[in-house]
Amino acid sequence: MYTDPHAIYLNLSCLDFLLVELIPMSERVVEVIGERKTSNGNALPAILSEKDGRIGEEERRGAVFKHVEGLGYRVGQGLVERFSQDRPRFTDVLDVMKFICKDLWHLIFRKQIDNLKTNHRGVYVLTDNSFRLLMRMSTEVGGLDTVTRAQPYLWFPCGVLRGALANLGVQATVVAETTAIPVAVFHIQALRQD
Amino acid sequence: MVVYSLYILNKAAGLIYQRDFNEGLKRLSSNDYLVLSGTFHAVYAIASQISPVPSSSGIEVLETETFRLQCFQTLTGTKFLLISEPRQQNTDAVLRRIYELYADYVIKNPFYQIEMPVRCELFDRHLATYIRGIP
Repeated sequence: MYTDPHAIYLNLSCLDFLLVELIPMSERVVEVIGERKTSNGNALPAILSEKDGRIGEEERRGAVFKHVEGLGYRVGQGLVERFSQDRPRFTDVLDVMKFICKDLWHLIFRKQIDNLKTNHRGVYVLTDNSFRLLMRMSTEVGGLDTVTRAQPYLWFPCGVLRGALANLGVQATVVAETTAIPVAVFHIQALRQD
Repeated sequence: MVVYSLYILNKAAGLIYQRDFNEGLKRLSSNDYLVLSGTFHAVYAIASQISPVPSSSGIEVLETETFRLQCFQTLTGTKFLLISEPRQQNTDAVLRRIYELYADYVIKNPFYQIEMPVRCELFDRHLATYIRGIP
């Protein structure tokens, strides 16, 4: 589809490894930022400080989510900028969704979305039955433990989706969840229609 | 092809994975397995030093009347030992495929710490399917 004679090729495993390391890195970054805030001696709001002055678990998780999702947002914006080049104009939001499900997903994950559901009132549910980023994950305990620990790895694709949609003119919120590895379900709520 | 067992050793000669594929084998204690892997690592190193040909690798194949041991050392220092029945062909192809599975389901697993014992359900499952499926 995108046959560029001057294309440079890169091993796809690099992206896998990068995304795997992204979550621990974001956690470390949030940790450092949190410590810097407490050591500055600024007045912290009550939710941020605990007995020993470090960030609470909920707050920390939220901060990591914001960080990772923000990274994804920028990536999503850039991706659609580059790869919606030669396409005809999008007619409506459903058209945008189809582009995301077929073209964008194929670009990043080498496959298309398995199922797209909508209630025609701005809510879209995308299901990927063998989500690439979750394919290799397994823990000792297996089952539910893997599902809870895999949650942060879905935040980056959420950001990518949100950025892609935003740059195509659709403001939306994206939430992802997984009930069983490697199935991933993305819930998109479009706030405004163009 | 009859494969008896698989051992994976990390850079520091520690045993990170051990699995028997044949029910008839006697199980040793976990300490015995660690001693075995340490011994093999040392013998491998000695063999590469005393070899008359300069810059040779260590032991690749060890064949006896009752078993055949094939060793594959990766560029990163991880050793894969495959124990199968004697006079077996294509054990190096099997080892390469196992290395591929290792790279996919262990290294790319975000919940696995490098050089630690391998406890990945997906790796176990795919390994079992592959070993059983070899003609």
